[in-house]
Amino acid sequence: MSEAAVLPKGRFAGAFERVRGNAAFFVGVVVFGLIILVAVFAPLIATHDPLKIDFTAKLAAPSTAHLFGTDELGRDIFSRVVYGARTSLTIGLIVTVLSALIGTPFGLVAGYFGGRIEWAIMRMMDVFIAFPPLLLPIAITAAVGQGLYEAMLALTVSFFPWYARIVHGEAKRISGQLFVKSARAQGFSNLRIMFRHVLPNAWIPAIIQASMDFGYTILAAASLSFIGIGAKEPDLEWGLMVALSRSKFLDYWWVALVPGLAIFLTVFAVNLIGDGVNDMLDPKGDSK
Amino acid sequence: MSELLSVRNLVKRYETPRGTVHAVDDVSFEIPVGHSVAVVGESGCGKSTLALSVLQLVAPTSGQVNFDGTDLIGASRSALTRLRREIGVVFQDPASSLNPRMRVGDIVGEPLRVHEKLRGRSLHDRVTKLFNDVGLTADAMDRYPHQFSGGQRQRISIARALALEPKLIVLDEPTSALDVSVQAQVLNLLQDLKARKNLSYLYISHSLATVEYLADILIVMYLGRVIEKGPADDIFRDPRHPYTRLLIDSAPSLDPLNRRLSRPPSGEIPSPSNRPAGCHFASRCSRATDLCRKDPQPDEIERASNHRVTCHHPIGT
Repeated sequence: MSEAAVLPKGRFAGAFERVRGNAAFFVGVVVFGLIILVAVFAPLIATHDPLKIDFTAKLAAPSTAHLFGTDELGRDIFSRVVYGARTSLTIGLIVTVLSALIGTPFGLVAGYFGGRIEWAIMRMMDVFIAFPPLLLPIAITAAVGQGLYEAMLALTVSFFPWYARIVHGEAKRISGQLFVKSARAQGFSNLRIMFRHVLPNAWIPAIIQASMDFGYTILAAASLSFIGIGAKEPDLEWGLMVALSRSKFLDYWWVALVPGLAIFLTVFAVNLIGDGVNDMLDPKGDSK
Repeated sequence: MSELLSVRNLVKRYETPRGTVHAVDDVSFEIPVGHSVAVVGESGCGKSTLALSVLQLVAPTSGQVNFDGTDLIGASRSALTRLRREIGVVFQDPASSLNPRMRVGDIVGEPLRVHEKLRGRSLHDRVTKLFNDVGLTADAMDRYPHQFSGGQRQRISIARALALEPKLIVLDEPTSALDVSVQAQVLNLLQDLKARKNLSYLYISHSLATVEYLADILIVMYLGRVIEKGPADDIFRDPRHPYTRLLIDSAPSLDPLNRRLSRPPSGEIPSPSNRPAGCHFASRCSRATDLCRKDPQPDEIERASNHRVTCHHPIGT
């Protein structure tokens, strides 16, 4: 054999070099890591029972007894915000993963088969995507009722078509490649070709989308809670906490500021990570 | 001579907004067991569509493709799956014909896993043997396609095509994406495998230089139709159709002592969606007369034994 082989290179080789020096990504990772730790060890970190009502201490200003003060029912805001991290991260994770898991097969089937199947699936996705952001989740919660799970369902329904659309484009491109044609010529089943040959080459854009969506999901869930169709008492949810303080925050700044900052910090950190992931896995920088 | 593959009156038309494209127009030929048939022509002459029709990757408009006694067109799904094990395929571009996310050992072993349900040791042994057959070492199995050169990737494609011990291999321009020095190695390998395993080839190429080396029977296509076919030696020695002559004269030879005077084909190829009324080649042909421009091409004329040409004024008359 006279042809020389090139040096081995894995899929993610070079990816970490590309983000080294990307300070924003590391800030995001550190902040998000801390938020995860807070969520996991909430019972150890919280100074009070987040649900315990204490009218003697209602709307207390931040002090050593109550780090971030108390709300109008005298509940400790620090402890409530700490527990709230669990809710927000859970919503972000479940909605993002579910959307990707539901949307990806639609896009894969549409992109692989093409023709009428593609047309039918993608027009159906267009119907979902045609709604302005948040209007569809509002309509769905109006139909199925208020609550955390209902909000997650509503967000999933409005997010999954985007994954279908992204995977569809990639799957369509990959399905036209010779190795897919070759797999068909070898008599492999469509299922095998889709999952062994097309999907492993088509899922990276979906991962990038998911990393960007995670923060948006948390924000959207908080928004739903804020306008009163997401989490409801006694759920520990940041958007709901801001909503409950609506009439008070002009006089008692801490009741809205602290959960609001928690939302901001989490979404900000996740978006920094999303940008970093985008840079790492960007197909244009991929070694192929 | 028994026939492994016989193609009868194969037609593939595409309806486009600009008219009907006659990609393959009434093509017939046979591949005897252990022989290689080369289909040659310029881009757009329908040779790749012909190969894809034989593989049933595009559905022909009409005609028959009979493989080893079974008609592939209209065959049931299970019959088709069975027949596909008997036909290997090697595509032109080794960069995109191998899944970039799979190890090459898995790529070559996949047909064995799927169709013969091989696992573990027995699978590994078979794949090792296939790698050796195509001149690669077994330690290459754990690497990914992009870690190989073009010639090595084409060897991997060939190993995959050989995996199920097929009787026929369809080679769709297997060397045209490769450097000339590597082309010769791959052609040698194909020639060697054909002899050792009694394989038949359907070899699609735009380059006569590589065909000369590998083909037993030559088919020359022009705008979807067969214009000359016969034993490859005959045609190279004594081409009858002016178009074949043109192709042979313009082909670079692998042998430096046998360089022919290069005369590039003149004139534009007519559009396959709007072919001229008479002989499709008349507009580029030096021998064309009014007859050629008005009358459709004559039916195949048998010259010597098995050497057929479709021309009003064949060379040598």
